[in-house]
Amino acid sequence: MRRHIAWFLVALSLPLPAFALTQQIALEKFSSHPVMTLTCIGDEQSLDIPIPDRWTIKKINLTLHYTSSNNLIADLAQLGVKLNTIPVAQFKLNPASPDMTVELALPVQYLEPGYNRLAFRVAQHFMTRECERPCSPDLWTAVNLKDSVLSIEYEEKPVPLSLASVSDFMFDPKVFPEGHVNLITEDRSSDALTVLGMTASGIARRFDYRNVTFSVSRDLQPGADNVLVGRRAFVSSFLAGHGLSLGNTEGGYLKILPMPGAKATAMPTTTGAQEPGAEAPTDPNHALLVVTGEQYDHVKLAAATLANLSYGFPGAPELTAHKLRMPDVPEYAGREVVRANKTYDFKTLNFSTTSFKGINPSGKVINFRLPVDFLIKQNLTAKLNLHFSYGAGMRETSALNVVVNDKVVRAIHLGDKDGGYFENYVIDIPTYLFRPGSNTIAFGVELQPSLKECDLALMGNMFLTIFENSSLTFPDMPHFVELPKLELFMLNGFPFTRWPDGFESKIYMAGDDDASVTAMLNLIGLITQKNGFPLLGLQVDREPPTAKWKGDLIVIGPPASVPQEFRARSPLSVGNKTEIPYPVVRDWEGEYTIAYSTQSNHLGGDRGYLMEFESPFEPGRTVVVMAAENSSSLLKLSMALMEPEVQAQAQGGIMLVETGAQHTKPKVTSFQIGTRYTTGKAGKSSQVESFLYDHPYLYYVLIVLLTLSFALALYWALQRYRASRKLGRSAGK
Amino acid sequence: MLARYLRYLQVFLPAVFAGVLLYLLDMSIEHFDDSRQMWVGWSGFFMLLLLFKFQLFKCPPWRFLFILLAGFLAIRYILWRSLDSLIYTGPLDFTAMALLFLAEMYAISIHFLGMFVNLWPMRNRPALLPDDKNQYPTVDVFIPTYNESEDIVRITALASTQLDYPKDKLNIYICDDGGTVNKRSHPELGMEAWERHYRLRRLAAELGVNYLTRETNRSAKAGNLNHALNHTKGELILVLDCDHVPTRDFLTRTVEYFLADPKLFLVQTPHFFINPTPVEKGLAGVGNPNGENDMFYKEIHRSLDFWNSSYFCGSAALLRRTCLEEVGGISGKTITEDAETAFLLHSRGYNSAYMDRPMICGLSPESYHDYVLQRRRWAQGMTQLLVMNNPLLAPGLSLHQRLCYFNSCFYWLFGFARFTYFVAPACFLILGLRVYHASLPQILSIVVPYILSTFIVMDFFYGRARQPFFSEIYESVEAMFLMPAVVSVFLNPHQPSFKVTPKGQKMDSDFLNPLAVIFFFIIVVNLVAMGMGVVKWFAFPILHDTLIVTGAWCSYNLYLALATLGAFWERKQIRHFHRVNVSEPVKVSIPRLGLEVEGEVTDLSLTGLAFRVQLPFPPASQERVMLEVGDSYGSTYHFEAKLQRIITRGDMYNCGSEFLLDDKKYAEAVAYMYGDSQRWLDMWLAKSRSHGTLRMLGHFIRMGAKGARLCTTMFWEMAQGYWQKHKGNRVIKIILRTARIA
Repeated sequence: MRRHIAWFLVALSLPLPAFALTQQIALEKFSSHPVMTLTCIGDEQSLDIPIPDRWTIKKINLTLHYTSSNNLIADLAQLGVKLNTIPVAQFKLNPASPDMTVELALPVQYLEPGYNRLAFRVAQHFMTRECERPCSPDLWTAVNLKDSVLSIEYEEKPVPLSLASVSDFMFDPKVFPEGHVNLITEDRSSDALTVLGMTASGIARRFDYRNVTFSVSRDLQPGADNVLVGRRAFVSSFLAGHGLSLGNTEGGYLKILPMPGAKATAMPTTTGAQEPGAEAPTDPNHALLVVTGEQYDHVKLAAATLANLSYGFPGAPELTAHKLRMPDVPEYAGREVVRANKTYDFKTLNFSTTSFKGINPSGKVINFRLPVDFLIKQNLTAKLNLHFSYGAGMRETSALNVVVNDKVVRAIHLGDKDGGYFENYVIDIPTYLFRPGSNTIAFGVELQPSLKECDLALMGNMFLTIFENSSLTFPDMPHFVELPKLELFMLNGFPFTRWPDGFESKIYMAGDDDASVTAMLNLIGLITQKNGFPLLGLQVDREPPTAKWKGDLIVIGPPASVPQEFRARSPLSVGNKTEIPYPVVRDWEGEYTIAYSTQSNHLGGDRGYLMEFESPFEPGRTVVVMAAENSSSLLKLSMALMEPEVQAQAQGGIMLVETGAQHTKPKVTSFQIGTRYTTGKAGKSSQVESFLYDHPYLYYVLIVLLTLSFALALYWALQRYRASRKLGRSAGK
Repeated sequence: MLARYLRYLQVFLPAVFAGVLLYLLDMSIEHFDDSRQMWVGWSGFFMLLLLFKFQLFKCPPWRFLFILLAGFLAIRYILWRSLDSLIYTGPLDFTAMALLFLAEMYAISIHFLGMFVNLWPMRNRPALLPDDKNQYPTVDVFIPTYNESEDIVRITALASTQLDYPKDKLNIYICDDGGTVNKRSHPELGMEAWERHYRLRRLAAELGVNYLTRETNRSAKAGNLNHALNHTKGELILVLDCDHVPTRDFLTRTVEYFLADPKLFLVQTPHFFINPTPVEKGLAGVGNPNGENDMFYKEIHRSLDFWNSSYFCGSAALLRRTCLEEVGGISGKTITEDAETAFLLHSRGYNSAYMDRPMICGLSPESYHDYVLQRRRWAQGMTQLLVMNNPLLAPGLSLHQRLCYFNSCFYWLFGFARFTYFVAPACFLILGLRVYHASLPQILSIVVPYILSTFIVMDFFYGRARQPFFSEIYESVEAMFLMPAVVSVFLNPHQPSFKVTPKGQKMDSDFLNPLAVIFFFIIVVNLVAMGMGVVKWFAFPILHDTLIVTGAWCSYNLYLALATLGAFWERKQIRHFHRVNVSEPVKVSIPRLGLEVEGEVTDLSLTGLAFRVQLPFPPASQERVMLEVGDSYGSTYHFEAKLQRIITRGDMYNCGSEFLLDDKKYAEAVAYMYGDSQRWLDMWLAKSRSHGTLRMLGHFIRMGAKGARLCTTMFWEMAQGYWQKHKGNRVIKIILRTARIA
C-alpha cells in the first residue's frame, strides 16, 4: 500500500512544472573577505547576490551575524539592511549585547533575476553631548559573512525551447553553488573527444566564473541539462531511441529539445505493470542540447558556434551553422588581460564613472591581469591617466589615494576649497609594483568636511568622482618565464593559453572511461574559465604523442599510462624502482631541499597529482601530467582542482592532492622540483640560452673561460705586431 | 700558406671570442633577474679589483684579461642602457634623455678607445748612436719664437749649443716671428719689433747660432717652421719651443731611431714642465702630484707608440726633413699643425716613435687665461682635424691608427658630456624630466659596478701618472670653456686662428679667476635640485629609489663643482725662474770661515740653489760661498754665490743662495740646471702616486670648502662695493625696505 502511495506521488509530481528547492549559502561566497567592517559614524557596504534566470524565488531568509563595538551608544547606533536600495530591516546596535545573530526574511518582491544588491548600512556614535571624531576607532560594526547565511527557497522555471536560452538561461553564471551539465558522446575516439572538449569549453565559458562540473554518460542523465555531441548518424539514432528527431540540415547543427523523461521501462503503470516503449512526459525544467553535423568538422563548427552564442539570438530552437569566422585572437588575450602598449579606459576595465560620497566612502578596485609570463622590467612605468572632480568646501587634508597591489603609489591632495576638476592627471606607476597575473589598482578616498568640530556638517558637497574615460596604459615587456610553475597553470592555464584558444596545445587521454573523460572536461572547463576564452584550438588525442609534436601537452590518465619519454623527464614517476622526491628543509626563498628515495610503489587511491616539466620533444614547451591511480580518483582530482583553496596552493613542478574522506577539504602538497626551463613569447626558446639560464654557474664559468681565451688570442695576435715596433739597436740585438 | 692562415686566425679567433661573449652578455641582459644581475655585476667588479691589486696583471697577456673584464662590464652597461633603459615618455623627456644618452655613449666610446689604445704600451726602448760619427745625420735645431722674452730664448738657444753632438753636424736657428718685416713695418708696434729683431740677432751672434725671420707671419708657427725649412738643409730637424730647454743627451738618445728605420719621420719626447699649471697649483696640497700632462706623456703616448700613432706635439721632437718636404712642410690647415703633420705622414705610411724620457724642460702657462687659451687651441685644432680630415675615413691609415687619431680628436668633446652630467639630475629634480629610466636594483646591479670599474680602469692605465679624481677636476675646469670653442669649430672649421700661449708670466697676488662664475651656476643648480629632491622625497614616496640615485648624483656634482672652484683660485707667481725640488749632494765652501762642508741641494733654479748643511757656526746673511755640484754625466760645476736666506734648524742650516754669474758661468749654470736629463727623469718618476682614494676625496672636499669660502668672500666684497657705489639708487632702497618689512 505504502509503495502504491509512493508511486502515486511520484507520478503526480512528474507533470508538475516545478517543485520547491532550497539552497543555503554563506554570504562569504559573495565576497572576497570573510568579514565586512563598517566604520565611522556612517558607512555602507554591499554584496551582490546572484539570482539565476531559471529560478523563481519563493522565500529568502537571511541569518545575519554581526558584532559591534561595545563603546557605541545604543540609542544612536543602528544597522540597516537594504535590498536593491530599499531598506528592509534595521537593528539597534546594543553595546550590552555586541555579538548578535538575527533572522530576517527578505521581501521576495524586491528581488530580480540578475545581481541584487544586499547592502548593510550603519549609523553609529559613541558620544552624545561632546563632539566626536567622525572616524574614531570606537566606531565599528563587523558583519561576519562566514556565519551569515542566505537561505533561498525556489522553484525552477521551464527551459524555453529556444537556442537563446543557451546564452543566459541554461548556462547561467548566476546559478549557485555551481553548474552541472551532462554530455553524451558518440564514442571515445580522438575526434569525438576533441569536439566534446570544445563543447565543454564553450559551455564553461558561458558559465563565466561560476564553477561547472561535467559528467559523461552513455545515456541521458535525468535532472540535469544534457548535451548530445556527435555526428549526425549517431545523434539521429540516439534521439530516435527517445522519440525525438533532427531536422534536415547541412553543416553544423544545434538544436534544443525538451529533456525526455525516463523510458517507460522504468515507469510503472497504474496497474503496476510496465508498458514497453511508452515515453514518459518530458522534464520541462531541463533541456537536451544537440551539437551535431554530418562529419566531425561540422560538429566542430557547431561546437564553436555554441561557444559563441553570447546573447539571445536565435530565438528558434535550432540553427544550422555554415561558417564561423573568429576574430584574430592576439596572443595572451584572455579574461581581464591588459595587453602591452594598449590604452584601456576605465569603462573597459569594469570601472564605470564612480562617485565617492560622504565622510567614509568605500573604495573601488580595478582588477586586471597581466600575461603571466611577463618579465616585469624594473625601470618601466605604467601610465594611469585620471579624470576626476571633487566637491567644494572640503578640508585640505582630503585626498584620493591610489593603491597598486596593496602599495600606496600616490596620494592626490584635494587641496582646493573651491573644488576641482582634473583632466589628464597622469600618474606613472613603476612596473615593479605589478606582477604577472592578477593585479589590482584601488582607489581610496578620504573626504573630510572643512568644519570645526561640532559645526553642522553638510555632507552633500563631499564627493569625488572618477570618470570612466580615465585610462591605464601598460608598457611592453618581454615574455620570458622560468618554469615549471603550476601556479601559472592555475592562474590562467599557462602555457596552454598562450594562444587563448589553446592553439598548439594538445591533451593526450590515456583512459577512455566516463570518469577519465569527465576529469578531462572538468580540466578544460577550469582552464577556459580561468582564461575566459573557449579552447577551440585544443586537440584531444588518444594516441601517445610522438616527437613530431612541438607544442604543449596535457597528459591525463593513470601514472602507468604516462609515455616513457615523459616519465624520464618528470619529477615524479610511479612504478618499479622509481625515484621519489621528498622535501626536507625549506629555505628562505621557499625552495626545498629534496631527498630522493628509490622505491617500488603505487600512488594509491583518493589522491592524484599534477606535474609540470619541459617537453622532451621541444625546448621551451611544457608537459602537464594529471594522474591518479584510478579513474574515480582522477575525477575527484579534477573536482578538487576547481576549489580556490586548492588552486591557491599550487606551486612549482609538482602538486599532490589527497581527496580521501578523511580530509574535510582536499589536502595539497606542492613544491618546486624538476629541471627548470624557460619559455619565451612563442613558447620556444633557444636550447643554449635555456641551458645556460638553468645552469648559471656554467654561464659564469663560460664567461671566465671565454675572456681568458680571448685574452690569450689577443696576446698571440699582438705579439708579432709588437716585435715589428721595436726600433733601434736594441731590437737588432 | 701556413703563415697566411695564421694571420687570418689571428684576426678570426679574437673576433669569435668577442662575438660569443657579446651573445652571452646580451642573454644576461635580456633574461637575468635582479639577483643574478647583481651577482654578475658585483662579481665582475670585485674580480676586476682583485686583478688590479696584482702586479702580474699590469703586463700582457694577463693585462688583456683585466682589460677584457673591464670591457665586459662596460658592454654590459651599454647593452642594458641601449636595450632596456631608453623609453619614450614625451618629447621633452625624450630630448633630455637622448642628450644624456649621447653624452654617455660619448664617454663610453672614449672609455673603449682608451682601453684599445692602452692595450700594450711600449716601454724602455733604448737606442744608442753608432760609434762611427760619420754616420751621424746633420741636425738643424729650430727655436721658433713670437713674443717671448729674450731671457727665455737665450736659455733654450744656449742649451742647444750644449747638445752632445758633432758641432759640424749641428746647426741652431732662432726662428723669430716677432721681428718679421711685416711686424717691423707696423706704424705703432714696429719699433718694438725692430728692438726685438736686433736683440735676438745680437743674441744669436753672441751664442754662435743662426737667426731667421721672414716677411710675414703667415700660418703662424707652421709658417715660421716652414720658412726655416726652406732656408736650411739638415737631414733631421729638432723643433724646440723657445721655452723648451733641451738636455745635453737629446740627440744621442733619439737620432739612432732614424738610422734604424728609414721610414721613421718622427721621434717625439715628453714635454717636461717645471712649473705647475694654474689648475695644478689650485690642486696642490697632497704630496708631489703628477703634472697635468704626465698622463699623456707617461702613459698615453707610450700606448700610441705601440700602435705606430705617436704624433708630433709641436716641440721636443726630431723630424726627418725629407718626409716633411714630401708633405710640403709643417701643415697649417689646422691650428694644431703638429698633430696634423704627423697625421699626414702616417697616412703616407711613415712611422713614428716615442722616447719616454724627458729631455726638455719647459714652462706651463701661469694664469688661467693663458691656460684656457692653450687648451682651447688644442681642443679647436684637434676638432679641426676631426672635422676636416676625419681620421676614421682618411685614406692611408691602418685601422689602429685611425682609432688612435680618432681617440685623440674625439676626446676634446668631453665638455658636452661633462656639462650634461652636471645638469642631468637637475633636469629630473627641478624640471621633472625623466632622463634616465632605471630602478634602484638596476642601478645597483649594472650602473654602479660599471661606474666604479671606470675609476679602477683609469687608475690601472694612468695611476702612475694621475691621482684619483684629478681627471674629473681637470675636465670640469676645462669643460665649460672648451665647449663653445669646439662648437665654433663644428660651425666653421676654418675659423680658429693660432694664438701663442704666453709663457713666463708673473702674478703679484692670489685671486679668484672670474671664469669660476660658471661653477657658481652649477653649484646653485645642483643645490636647488637637491632641495627639490627633499621636497619630492616627502611628496612622492614612490620616487624614493629615483631620488636616492639623483640625490647621490647631485651630491657628486656638487662635490666636483666645489672642488673645481677651489682649483680656480689663482696663486701668485713672483719668481722669474722656477725652482725645482731635488736632492743632490753639494760641497759648500765658506771662505770667510775657511770651512768646507758637504750638504744637500734641496731646490735649484737657474739663478741659485737652496741647500741644507750642518755648520759649527751660523753663516751670515749675504755671505759669499763657493758651491760644487755635479750631474749624472760626471761633470762638476763650481759656482760662486751669496746667501740670501738662512733658516736655522738646530745645527742644520737651510740656506738660499744666489749665483754670481758672468756670461761663462751663466752658460755653465744653464748646463747644470737644464743639461741633465737624468734629473728630469728622476723628478718625473718621483712624482707621487695616489695617496689613497679616501685621502684624495677628503683633500678635494677641503679644497672645495676653501674655494667656496673664498668665492663667497669675493662675491660679498663685490656686493659691498656695488652697494657703496649705488646705495642712493632707488631700486636698492625699495629692496632694502621690502627686506626690512619681511
